[in-house]
Amino acid sequence: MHLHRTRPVSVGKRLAALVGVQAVTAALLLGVAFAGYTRLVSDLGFMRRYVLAPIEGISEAMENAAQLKLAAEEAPTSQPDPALMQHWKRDVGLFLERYRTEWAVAENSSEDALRFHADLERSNQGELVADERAAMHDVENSLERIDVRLSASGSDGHTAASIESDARDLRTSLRKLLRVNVGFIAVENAAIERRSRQTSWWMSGVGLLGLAGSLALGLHVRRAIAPRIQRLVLQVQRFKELGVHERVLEEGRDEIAILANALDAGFAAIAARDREREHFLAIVAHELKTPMTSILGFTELALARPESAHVRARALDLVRSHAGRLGRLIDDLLLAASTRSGALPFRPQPVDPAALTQKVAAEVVMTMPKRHFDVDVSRGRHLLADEHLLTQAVWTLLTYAAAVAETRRAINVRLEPDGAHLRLEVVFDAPAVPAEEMERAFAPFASVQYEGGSGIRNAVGLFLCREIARVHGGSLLAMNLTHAQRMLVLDLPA
Amino acid sequence: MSDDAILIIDDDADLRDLVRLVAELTDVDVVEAATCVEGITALRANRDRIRLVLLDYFMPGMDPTSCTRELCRLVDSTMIVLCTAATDPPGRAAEIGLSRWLAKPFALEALESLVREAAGVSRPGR
Repeated sequence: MHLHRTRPVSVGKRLAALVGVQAVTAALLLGVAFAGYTRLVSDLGFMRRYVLAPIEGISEAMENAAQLKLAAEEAPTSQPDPALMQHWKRDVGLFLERYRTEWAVAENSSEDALRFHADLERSNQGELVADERAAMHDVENSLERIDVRLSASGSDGHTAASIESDARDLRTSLRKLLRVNVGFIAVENAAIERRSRQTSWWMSGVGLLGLAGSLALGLHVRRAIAPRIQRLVLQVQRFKELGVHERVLEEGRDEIAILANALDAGFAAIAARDREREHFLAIVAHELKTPMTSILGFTELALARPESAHVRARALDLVRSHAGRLGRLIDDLLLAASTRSGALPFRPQPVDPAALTQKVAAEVVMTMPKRHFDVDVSRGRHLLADEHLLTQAVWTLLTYAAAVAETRRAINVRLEPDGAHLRLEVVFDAPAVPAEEMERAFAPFASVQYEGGSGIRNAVGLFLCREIARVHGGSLLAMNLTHAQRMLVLDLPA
Repeated sequence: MSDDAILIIDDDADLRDLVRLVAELTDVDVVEAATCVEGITALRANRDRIRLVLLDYFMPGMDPTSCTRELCRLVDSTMIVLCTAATDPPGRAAEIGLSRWLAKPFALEALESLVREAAGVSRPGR
């Protein structure tokens, strides 16, 4: 017997822990990925709104500044249109106003801008904010100077030259603003790359930790399950190949232990049934061989001494008396085997139960001369039954009763109608037994030993009798009537 | 009364009859016992002339091991032949300390041989 101690934590809990770790890992990975994605979207949005959009505005402003400069340069040869120049200057002014209010990083206090300021400091590019302020200031100064010159009356060559110089300064300031924004792009791009790497590290870290946790717990679960399953498989194989039942007691209360103990109980039941069957077969072999010894011996003796009428008569009598019982015993075995395989033949026909009962009682008495039956049958009712099966059932019933009953006391057999049924009651003197013990007589390989007319004999149990009653739609009951009297009742629909 | 006898201890009356009929043509008496207790008593009473004991395995009253032990106090174990319809007769014989056995059902010749052995006509060893 092997005793295998199990860990206190059940397999189900271990599996739940494993699934839990995997779920947490997946949730963390999702969280990190979502956070990284959100940050990336935020960074890209910030870059598009505060860096790329201004660059487009700066380009237009630089174009207007270029137009202004070009018009001023051509002033000596062609008179510039003051309204047009005012228009270009105004557009640049509008750009500056918009830049200052919407795009200027230096003036922005939003959460994204503050984070961008931190990125600038982290990459040692904090001076870009000051550069932006300076560039805006320079643009503003250039615009103010151009405004003053355009407001001055006349557009002589001196004024045009001044405007051309201021427009060049304006373009230079705008280019400076452009460089600042390009610098912002570089910083933001670097920040995005850094944050992407951080996200990747986080995801890798969480993934590795989750993987390690899952592997560790998986091995833990495997160690808890695999050896025990292997033991069970080995036990099943040994049982299958050798019919050997070795008990494996699982002390735990987890699912494997429950399975092992259920399997163990099943094997124990099969092994017990096998032992019962072997015991039963040994008994049957003994019951067949014992009369066969006499039959064989006497027939050989009769053949060897043909002149002895006494020996011949004795041999014939012996063959006759044993043949009936041996036939019944063999029939019982065959029918019981058919019953166990679910193929009990059932061919109903009208049967006279009274005549059948009397005939069987006489047959039983012939093989058990020390027993006496008081048979009281009610005639006139016929049954629709399988005569062969019913004869076998009544023979089994009376033989069992005769085997169990005390000798020298009559066994009362009464057949009487009971409504739409017929009841065959067999009452005999025998000590009362508990219900469980009585029920053992109905097990497939049950037998009962008794003192027969020619020695110790064994009668088969009531398994077949109950099955025959069942296929007829009836029942067979065994009960204690008193502390010293028992009754068997075969109830059949008439 | 003959000087040689066979003791048959068997609860089967038919078998006892058979042994008696086989032996009646020889100069061997058959002493019959239906139980082991009867057999021990009969052996004590006929100890000088019992040449062979035929012993059944399953009998009422006494288990075969105890029965054999009692018989072996009176005669040598080689004089006792276990005669049984049980499975594995050699195993059963060894189990109760006997070396000779006869499996039921047996041919009449086997029984006649044992009777001749008891009569001293022949003593074949098994």
